[in-house]
Parts: sequence; C-alpha cells; structure tokens
Amino acid sequence: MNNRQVIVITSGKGGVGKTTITANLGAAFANLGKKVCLIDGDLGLKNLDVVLGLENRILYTIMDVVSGRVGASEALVRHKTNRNLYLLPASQIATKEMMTVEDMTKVVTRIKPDFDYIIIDSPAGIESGFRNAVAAADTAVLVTNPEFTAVSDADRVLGLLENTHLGLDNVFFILNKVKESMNEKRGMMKTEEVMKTLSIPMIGMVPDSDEVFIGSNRGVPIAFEPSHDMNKIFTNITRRIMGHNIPVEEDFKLARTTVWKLFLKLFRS
Amino acid sequence: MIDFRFNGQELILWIGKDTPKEILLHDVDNRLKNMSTFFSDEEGLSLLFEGGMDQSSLILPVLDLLERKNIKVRTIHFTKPERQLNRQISAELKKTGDSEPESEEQAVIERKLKLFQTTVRSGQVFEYDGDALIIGSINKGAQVTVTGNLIVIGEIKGNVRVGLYDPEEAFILATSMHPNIMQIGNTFSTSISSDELALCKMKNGRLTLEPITENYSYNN
Repeated sequence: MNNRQVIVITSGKGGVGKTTITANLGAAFANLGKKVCLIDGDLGLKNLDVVLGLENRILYTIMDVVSGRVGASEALVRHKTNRNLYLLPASQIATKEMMTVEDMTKVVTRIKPDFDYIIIDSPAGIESGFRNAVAAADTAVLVTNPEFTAVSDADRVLGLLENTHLGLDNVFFILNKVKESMNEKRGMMKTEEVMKTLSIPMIGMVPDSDEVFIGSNRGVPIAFEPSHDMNKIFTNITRRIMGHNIPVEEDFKLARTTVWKLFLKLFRS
Repeated sequence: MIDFRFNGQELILWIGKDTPKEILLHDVDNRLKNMSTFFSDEEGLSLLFEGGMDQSSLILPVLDLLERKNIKVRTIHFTKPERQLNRQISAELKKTGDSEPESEEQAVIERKLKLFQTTVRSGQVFEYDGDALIIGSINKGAQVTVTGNLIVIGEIKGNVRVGLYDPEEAFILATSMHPNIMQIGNTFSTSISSDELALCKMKNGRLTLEPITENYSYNN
C-alpha cells in the first residue's frame, strides 16, 4: 500500500486534456505491471470509455454501484488488451448532482484493496462533480495548457484544493499541449511563467501532438504503443508519482524530439 | 472623540480611544440627531473602536443608543491605527504646550509588520489589519486588502487595496506589479504596471509609481 494510491486528475477549465491524460496515465501504470482502475467522474458527459475504446462493453455504471443495484466488481470493465487496466464508467443519463461526496468515498473505499492505483477523471468546473472527485483522493494532478485562461483556472482550483484535506503538498501539475514555439515567441506563455504562477511541482510536460488525438479517437491511448516517445513521457510521469526522482528536463528533451519528428514528418510529406 | 469615515464600502463611526462613556454617548447622540432617516433598512453603519478590546465596555451602551435611533449596525471593528493615534496625541500635546521630546517618544507605538509566506491565488481573499509583507505572488483574480502598507516579494497581478486609515502615508512595494486594480484609501488606478521593484503611493490625489533604483531616496 502506498500513500499516493488514489489520484484525481483535475483542471478547472474544460478541454485541457484531463481525460486523455487520465487514460494515458492509466495505460502507463498498467504497462508497468500495476493494477489500475480508472473512474470516470464526469457524470452526464462521460468520455473516458470512448478514449479507452470500451464504450461497447459497458453494462453497469458507477450510479448502479452507488444505488446498490450491483456490486463494484460487476460494474468494472476490464480493458480488452491490457488486462491490468479497469474502468468504472460514468452514466450518460445521470447528472453530477445525483452523486454525493459520501457516495464517491464509499465506492473508492470499496475498490481500493483490489487495485494498486485508482485514477479519478474529474469533470471541468469547481462544482459538485469536482468536489466529489477530489473527496476520495490522496493526490491531485492538475492538468493545464500554456494559456492564460487555463493557468488562471488552474490557479483557482489550487486555491480550493489548498483548503481541502489534500493541502498543497499532495498536488502536482502537468503542462499539456506544449508547443515548441512557446518559449521563443512573444505573447506565448512560457514554461517558467506557468511554474511561477502555480508554484507547485511540475511532474510532466506533454507536447501538443496529433498522434495523441488520433489515439484518443481510435480508442487506443498512445501510452499503449511501447515504441512511441509519448509513451516514455507518460511512463516518466507515472514513475514520478510513484516517488522516483526523474528530472522533468527529460520530458523537455523528449517533447522537443517529438515535436521535431512531427515537423520533419510534415516537411517530408 | 468620534468621527465619521467612509472606506468606499461602508460608513464607519470611528470612536476614539479613552473617551469617557458619558461624553461619548453625548457626542454620538448629538452627531446622529435627525439622522435616523438617513440610513435605509439594509444600510446602517459600522463601528470602529480604536484601542481594540480595551474599548469593549463601550459597545453595549453605543449599540443601545443606535438601536433607539433605529440605526442598524453592520459590523464592529477593533483596531489600533497607530499613526493617527500618534498624530492625535502629538496635536493634543502641542495644544497643552507639553511638547517635551520624551513625551512624543512615549507616544510612538511600534508598528508591527507581519510576514506571510504564501501565494494568494485566483479567487482567494486575503485581508489583514496592519502592515503585511507577503513573500509569494498575488495572482490574477486574487483580492488583497491590507489596512496599512503592503510589501510583496513577488508579483502583483490581482486586486490590491491598502491604506484604509491613512491613505496619504500608505504605500505598496513590490518586485513587479501588473494589478487589475490598485487602490490606496479611496483612490484607485487601473494603469499601474512595472516589471521592476517599485513603490506605489499617493501624490497630489493620484497613485504614482516610483521605480526603486540604487540611488533611490524616499521623499514623502
């Protein structure tokens, strides 16, 4: 049992890549031989099943577990290729208000002994869905983009997390959709600027890549492809969460090579 | 001694230190004569007792009096605005001709600067009665209100308000400033911007920004 077992992925702003990061981190943990459960906390706007390619395998949802209709083990969907990865899907017809903080805590407590890691995909916003997702977690990973609006919303979420049981010692951030030009062009938000504003540890930098999008659309997260550079980035992030000391500069280098590879690919085609 | 003050949000009845109860009630009664219709049901006024909790025995009689006059009390503040107190004492000493240097020195009360090592984040409200030194940034969307002076070792991007009691002497010092609104007393500015260490204070009724260079000398 470790002290970073239940991780909530949150952001404040929508569209920054929470669900994609959740799916890829889950895949990266599973690749390392860890038994992982991903919980879709976005009731009413579920997407995690689509990103994982599991939408056709859902029989029961987290709402069925909450209402006591089925046990948690019956609602869990096992991934078709990686057998270490499970999904507890959200219901599309439920609303966020139909679940309480106690419900989420109960569900997480029930499945906790069966998994090495549980990752909760929080909905955008700072309302009840966010509060439910955060309540059961012992670690929060904030996803943000190098945009003023996303960083400002992330800062707002940090202010709220500071006053929860998590405090700021258990909160980290991932800078997603990083562009090669952001540190050179004027008017773009620089990495240092984001780090200075949020003033919490950064545990990863994920480049803006078409292949991540394609992976999400196909239902096969990029972290499932062992040879891809993006896979290494997600593996590095999971290792940092597990407590390994891997400098984030490694992601910088990988991010740079990945973006250059894409550029060269475009140039050649 | 009593006085009326407006801090931009509420009307405050300032009650000076060491005023005997009977004189205070008489003063309040006089000043509020025919003013009961001035306040609407929602408005009312706030009380500010100078001298902190030492003045607590005066609260109930003042509240009774205001209730009889149908004036609603919104908040009760206690504080020690030392500079005003100094001025008041100095003025009184001058009046009585008893202006020996030792007496003036005795009247000087030490101003305490409190240190806060924190980042004030978007949506957070930071309030402090006195002078504050913040090591950390005030991010966009944050709101900081300090009744005295404010020193920030970091960046100011949020809304900042200082010098509620003594705007003429209040200042904001920060390593960089890009606030939405900066306010000293009742004067505010939306165009304060500096990338280097600078001091913001009131001059001729306007907020001015002075970069702090090596040869800087403070002229009040």
